[in-house]
Amino acid sequence: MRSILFKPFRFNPIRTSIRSISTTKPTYSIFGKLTQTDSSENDLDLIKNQKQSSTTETDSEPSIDSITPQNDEKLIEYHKQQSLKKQIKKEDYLNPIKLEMFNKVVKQYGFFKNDQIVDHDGKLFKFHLNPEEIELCEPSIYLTSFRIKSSTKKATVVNRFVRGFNLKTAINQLHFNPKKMSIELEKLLKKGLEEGEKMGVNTDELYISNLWCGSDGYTRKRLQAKGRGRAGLVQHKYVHLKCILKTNQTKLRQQYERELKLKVAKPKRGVLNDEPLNFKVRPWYKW
Amino acid sequence: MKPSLNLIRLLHYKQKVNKYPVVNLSDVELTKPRFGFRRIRQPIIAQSKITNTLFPNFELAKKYIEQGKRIPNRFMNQTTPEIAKENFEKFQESIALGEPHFKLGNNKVYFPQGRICLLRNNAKHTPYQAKFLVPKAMNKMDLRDYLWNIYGLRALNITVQLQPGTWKRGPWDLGRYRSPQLKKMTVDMADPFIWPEVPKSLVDSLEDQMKNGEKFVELNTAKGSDKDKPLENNDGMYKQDKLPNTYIPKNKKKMGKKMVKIFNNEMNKKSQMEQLNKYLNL
Repeated sequence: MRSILFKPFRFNPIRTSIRSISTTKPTYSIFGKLTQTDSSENDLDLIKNQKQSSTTETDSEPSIDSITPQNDEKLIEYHKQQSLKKQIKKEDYLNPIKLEMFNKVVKQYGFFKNDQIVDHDGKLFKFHLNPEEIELCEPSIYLTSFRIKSSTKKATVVNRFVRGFNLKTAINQLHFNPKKMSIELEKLLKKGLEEGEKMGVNTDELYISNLWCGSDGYTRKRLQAKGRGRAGLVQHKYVHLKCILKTNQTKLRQQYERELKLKVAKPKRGVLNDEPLNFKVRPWYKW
Repeated sequence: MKPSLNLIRLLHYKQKVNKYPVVNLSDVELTKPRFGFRRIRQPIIAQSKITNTLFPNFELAKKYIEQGKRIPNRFMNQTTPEIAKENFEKFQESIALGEPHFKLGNNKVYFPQGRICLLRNNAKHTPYQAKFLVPKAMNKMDLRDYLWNIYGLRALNITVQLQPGTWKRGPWDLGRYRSPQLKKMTVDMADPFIWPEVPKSLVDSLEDQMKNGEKFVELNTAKGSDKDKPLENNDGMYKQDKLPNTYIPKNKKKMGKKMVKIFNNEMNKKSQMEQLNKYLNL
């Protein structure tokens, strides 16, 4: 048996010199630095404190933390310029003189009347615009939706329902329509309401002039297994909605043109008159 | 020689009842026991119950010697209480001296290359345990020496966890491959250690960063009309006000732009001519 069993503790100076302290605890812990850090004073807070201290020294410049996208004037100005650049305006695509004269006519009559005598640069002109030009000159709001998971067939059913409606009536009707596309269309029209307010037109008189849907592309296709070794194609279609809102100005002009046409038209001569039929019309035979 | 007829047993021989063999009824045991009749052996020495000792194998070996029998291999070379005590004393002494309580490796590595990573404890671990992610080629002794030599950490016990490589699939093919195996080692320590909590502000900021990044990815991968969706991340830093557009057909746009350009050029020409005339006093 070895004699180490009850050997008393001996201090060995040579050995201890290798490792400076002779305790059960190691000289230093690998975790020493980590454990000492307080959770309340983390790195981020330190950085913030440093920032604040730096700002107090130089009061001339505001601290970076206080600047937000909502109060950063430079950023707001930049975005304003960008959105103006992106906006589609009729001024960029129409002859300025024509537009000026158009506005003069509208100011005089409340809507555009064709072939009126207009004063321009001290000269009088008989001002005529073709129907396409009139359409461009009149105020309109062009709305486009985002990508919608639906098909053109489904969307068209709802579109036909509100085409030509007054904007607010359409929103009201769509709100109580159980179809999915009516929800999407309602969202779009509400956006139009906002834009109309931005534009400064009377939103009560806005109406849906054109409303259509289109395929949004990137249709996902899947195979559908059929009987007898055949296969079908399942198509996951996406659509977008597009809408043109117009003001009362257009409606008044159209009304005026219709009346003018009637005035100019020759009196109809013929066997048939334009009066309604004097018997009940039903879609089936009654014999 | 022809056998007599009564000795021949016929094919369809049937013994008559009166010719059955006679048996004494007292000799017959009707319910024979099915077990318990075999010889019961004495329990072997290895099976004998030994209590009140930390080294039962050592005691068993002693019993074998007492009975003059050969000690089975499994009870040979067992630690005796003396040896155990000796080892324990040695261990305590080395701790007191601040020496390694094990034999250090002789292979000298000056720049260890393996990645050794201290992991956060799982729920099952005590504060006296630390988990490391180690290279797969490393063994317990390597880690023990490594921790001792570099950090002065005394690993009292080390257990190894080699994670199985799970099957994974790539996004572009039908094949599958094994992900690399991870080797982790859990070390028992003399002193406790608890990981500090990750500051909430840091976690929040990282989460924000991730969410904002996702929005950018969404926009970059958008299809069709979704390309026009406004960016609403980073507290609305990128959000632009959408101004109302007027509808102008594609063909009209092209023509109209051209026309406005020509008009502006003409107007410029006029003003330039005026300036020239003014300069020349015409």
